Amino acid sequence: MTSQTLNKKQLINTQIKLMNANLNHIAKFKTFTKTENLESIRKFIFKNSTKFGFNEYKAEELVLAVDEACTNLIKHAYKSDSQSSITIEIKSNKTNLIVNIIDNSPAFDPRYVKDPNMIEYRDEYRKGGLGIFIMKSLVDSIDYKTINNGEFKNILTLVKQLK
Amino acid sequence: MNDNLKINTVNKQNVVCFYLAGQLDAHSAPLLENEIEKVISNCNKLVFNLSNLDYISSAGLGVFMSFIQELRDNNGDIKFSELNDKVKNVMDLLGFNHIYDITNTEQEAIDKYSN
Repeated sequence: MTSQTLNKKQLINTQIKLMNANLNHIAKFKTFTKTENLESIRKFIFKNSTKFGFNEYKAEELVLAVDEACTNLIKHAYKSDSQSSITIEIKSNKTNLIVNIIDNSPAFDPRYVKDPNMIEYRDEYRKGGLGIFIMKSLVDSIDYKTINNGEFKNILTLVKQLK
Repeated sequence: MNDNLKINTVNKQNVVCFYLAGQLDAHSAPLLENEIEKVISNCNKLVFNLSNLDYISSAGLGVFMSFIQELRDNNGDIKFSELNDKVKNVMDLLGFNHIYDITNTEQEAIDKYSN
């Protein structure tokens, strides 16, 4: 079942992992799981991605991808719990900007969410379910892992190439 | 509370024009939902002038999807006009141009209701 959703974005994950050793840490941002904080998350991503060298267009794409990931966490994983937090880390190497979104909600790997059938979606006027599709469309690679060293964490990694 | 989106409505030729300014995201989407609810009890022909909308995410687009069927079932519609590039790119990504009338000017959108 999972193999159906594998695409070029997952295939280059191996490459990205190999590069993880030499990453520059750029910035870190921690915020509560409230929708009112989405705007400051977006500002944080925009500021750091233009500083890294993205043009405004590419920076906005990354902003939207991160918004969709965080909106999913806030609305679905945490429902109305606004006392938890999300941490966003930005790292880079020469050619990629890497955004880690870290939270401790129940494990959920968005890479294996099947892309919506857009024709059915349009014909049936479906609401919702498009956030993950948007997120996947706007970055070059997505990785996800869980870690448990005393505290359980999800780490969703979005990678966007400079060129 | 929902201060990242401003919504104004004006009646023009039996059409209600919504002027959205700011950001339509998961935070402001409920506000827009409420405003549309209020309007559609009296009028089901809507035009959204998005010239001052700087940002939209899937949560915002979902608001329109949740009303469109009911409106079309009652001979109404949602039409969009004056999108900036940023908003247009997101709508194109999801094929909104196949679902909705999207026009350059607000007047074109209004005129489509009388054709």
